[in-house]
Amino acid sequence: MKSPEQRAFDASRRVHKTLRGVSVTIKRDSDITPNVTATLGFTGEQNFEGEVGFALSTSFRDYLIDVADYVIDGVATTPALHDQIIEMVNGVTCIFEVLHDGTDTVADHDDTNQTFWRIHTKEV
Amino acid sequence: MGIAKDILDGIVTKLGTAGLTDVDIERQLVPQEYKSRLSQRKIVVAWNGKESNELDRSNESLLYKVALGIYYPVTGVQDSAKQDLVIDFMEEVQDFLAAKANREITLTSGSARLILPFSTDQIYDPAEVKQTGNFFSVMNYNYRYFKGRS
Repeated sequence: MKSPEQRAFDASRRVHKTLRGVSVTIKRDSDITPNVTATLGFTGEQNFEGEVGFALSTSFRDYLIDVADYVIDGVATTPALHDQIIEMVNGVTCIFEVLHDGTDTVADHDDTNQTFWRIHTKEV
Repeated sequence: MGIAKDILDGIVTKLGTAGLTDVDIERQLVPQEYKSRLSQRKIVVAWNGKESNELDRSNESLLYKVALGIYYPVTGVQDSAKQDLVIDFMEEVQDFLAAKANREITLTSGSARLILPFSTDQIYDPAEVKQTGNFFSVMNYNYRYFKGRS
């Protein structure tokens, strides 16, 4: 049986998904899973500056997706490098690729019971 | 007047005749790319400095330093096959510009000539490859232009 804290956490997650959720499509190679509800984590821009001032800007975005909802080929699975998360933003189709964010992992669990993924992506 | 810009534009034009496929080539004075807009590999030609040497009372030799930034979308540091293509591509560009027939850049006023050696520093930044899925490297070239001041 879940603890009161876990039930409260689950309830807040449900409310977060209801109020702030977005619909995304998950794609790995030819496998596509549409209509997955995600919430947004850290979003922003990152600059990589190389020699002679050459700079490359990337838009990064963390997606929070329930473990049970991250489905590839009908099976809940772990996010992998170069999976794609596709979202319509203001009527424009944006493709975000699962990439490292400076650590060795591309996705982490934020909650103690590991019920959802925080997935690190960059817009491509 | 306008020699630096002319040289950069001349290199862009010259590279356009190299037969390179699936590549965008452009001059930028403040090099800045966006990962989401890189649909294919790209060469950015930028200015990296200038040195003047007086030859005599009325002539000087100007050395224009040019940097070519190579952006090449890859799929991670483990993608060795793609990395082989990146290295091949860089050497293809280097071989083309360094070929004797291609060293001369025709300008609005006169011409500039590539002076060997050229250099390439780090092959790529592993952190950038992992976090952006993009290979990046810079090639440095020097072009000499003789200017009469009389």
